[in-house]
Amino acid sequence: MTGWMRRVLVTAVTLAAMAAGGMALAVTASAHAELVGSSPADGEVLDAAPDAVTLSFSERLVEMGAAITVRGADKQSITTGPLAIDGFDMTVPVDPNAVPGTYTVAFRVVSEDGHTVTSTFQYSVAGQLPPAASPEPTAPVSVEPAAPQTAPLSAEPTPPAAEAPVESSGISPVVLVIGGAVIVGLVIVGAIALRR
Amino acid sequence: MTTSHHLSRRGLLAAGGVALIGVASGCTSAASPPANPTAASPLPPSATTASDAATQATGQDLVYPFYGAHQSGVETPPTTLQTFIGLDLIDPSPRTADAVLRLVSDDAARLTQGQPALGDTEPGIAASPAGLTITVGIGRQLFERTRRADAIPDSLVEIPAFPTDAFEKPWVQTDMIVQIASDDAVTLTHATRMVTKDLSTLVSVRWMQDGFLPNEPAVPGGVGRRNLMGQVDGTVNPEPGTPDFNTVVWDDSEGPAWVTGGTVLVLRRIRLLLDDWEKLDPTTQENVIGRHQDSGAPLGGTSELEAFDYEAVDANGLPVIPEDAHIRVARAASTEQMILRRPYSYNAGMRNGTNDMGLLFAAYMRDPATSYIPMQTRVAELDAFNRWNITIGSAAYFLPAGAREGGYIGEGIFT
Repeated sequence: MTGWMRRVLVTAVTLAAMAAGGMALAVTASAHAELVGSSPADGEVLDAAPDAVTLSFSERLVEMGAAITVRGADKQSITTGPLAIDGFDMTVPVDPNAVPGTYTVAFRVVSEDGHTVTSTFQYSVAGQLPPAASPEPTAPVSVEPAAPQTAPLSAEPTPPAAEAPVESSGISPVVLVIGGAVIVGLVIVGAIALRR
Repeated sequence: MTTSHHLSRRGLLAAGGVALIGVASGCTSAASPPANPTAASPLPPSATTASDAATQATGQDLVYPFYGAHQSGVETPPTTLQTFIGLDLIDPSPRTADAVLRLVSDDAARLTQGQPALGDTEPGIAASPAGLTITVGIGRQLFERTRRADAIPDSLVEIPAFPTDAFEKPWVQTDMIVQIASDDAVTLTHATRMVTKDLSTLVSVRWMQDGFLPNEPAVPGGVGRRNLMGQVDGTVNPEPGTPDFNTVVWDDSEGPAWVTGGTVLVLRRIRLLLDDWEKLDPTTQENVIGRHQDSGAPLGGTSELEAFDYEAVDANGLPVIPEDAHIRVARAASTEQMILRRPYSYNAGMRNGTNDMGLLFAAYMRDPATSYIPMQTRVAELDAFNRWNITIGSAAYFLPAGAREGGYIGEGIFT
């Protein structure tokens, strides 16, 4: 191999390694906590009221600054005890005798990397409301299931729902995969060439 | 730049002068005369009104009284610089303790008034007091070491251990403390030099802790100043010259003359874990403390001095001030539970590759058993902020009443 070819290869391998490092950084920086699942799930319609609400996040949570409310149409909280944080999950007990209707879960958690996440989702308990104590008999109200994607009701200036895509690296997964493959290939080719 | 700084400083000083006069006219307690600044040198003829006089007696000429019902350096406005000197007596005898009190008092009586100390080789520095105060405190262990344990004031209780404590030598209890404060670094250092030189054959200096503050309150019209986390600190305090201040700070027991009018100083050295703190997003930082970073207002509020609304919830019913926010956990439920906070920042150089910086949390109170200790017990257990600080030092002292004219601080304790 001639000297100039070697220099070009060394430069290419170095650049590729730097690019790979940069991409790895970008991916790491985007990994803020977000809600990845819950029980009941967002938009779920249950036959019976649950006795707890559990939220699962993409990052480990810290036991700090956390708050959760579960409220029906009357805005009254149906939580029956303090919230508990365990690893990636937050759980709060709720009234198992809650009346049928739509419930809004609003939460604030802090992930291990120091970010506060605030958002909301809804679930519904199917069934018919018990007759109201009003003198005029009214037709029983049937409960409509909540829309699967409700806009966050949060008063925070930047709702995490809108935040998540913005905070990601901005590189599409396809680009990441192709870019990664190209870089790996370059590094291998370069390493082989340099050994000779 | 220079001009605008000068103007804003003058404006601030004028406002301070007016406030002090307001305090003077509104104060009815004879036991607690407010600390009115007086000029060290004759005022220029143009200063004719009382307001002008107060305004002029500032800057390098600012003088606080040495003699009086209380020691200066507590109710007087915080200076931008403050040094705490922890010292142990080489010979723990009552005679030595009394000699130390006399010597410090003599230096303080002169230097704080802009006069050179005895044998002062640098009278030119002494002529520029810049608000110099020299305050003396006595630890429980000095009473015990001098076999005067029966004289320990009731309020000078042991500060219990807290789960957040991680003390490091040398920042722990000493026999005595001398607190020296001024707006001028050279004045303060000169006073430190004079006091330690005069005591050099009687005491061992265990530590010196140098603190500093921003030159001005964080927001116009406010009182708190920013600490090294950028937080507005020292807002929740009794107002000097008010009955509340007397209740919170000054000992009103019918004890010996040196007890009545004294107070207890709790000094904690709190290292801030700035590398970790700075990784938090601003929302998380504000939720940890419970205040808005820019205005210093309680979360949900708009101005630093407004009252907290701990019951406030947002549209979804979540508490606006989190349950474990520092200000919620550290709040006092009554006047008796309050303390006077005079927090300073410190910079102790590098340590293990990062900055050793933090807070010299100096708090003054009538009775730690009803104020500081219950508060710190809650803080140590619940405060979200505990993740970003370590208490590496702690000491408590009784600050005797002020010296009577011609007398000295702590007169009668060890004689």
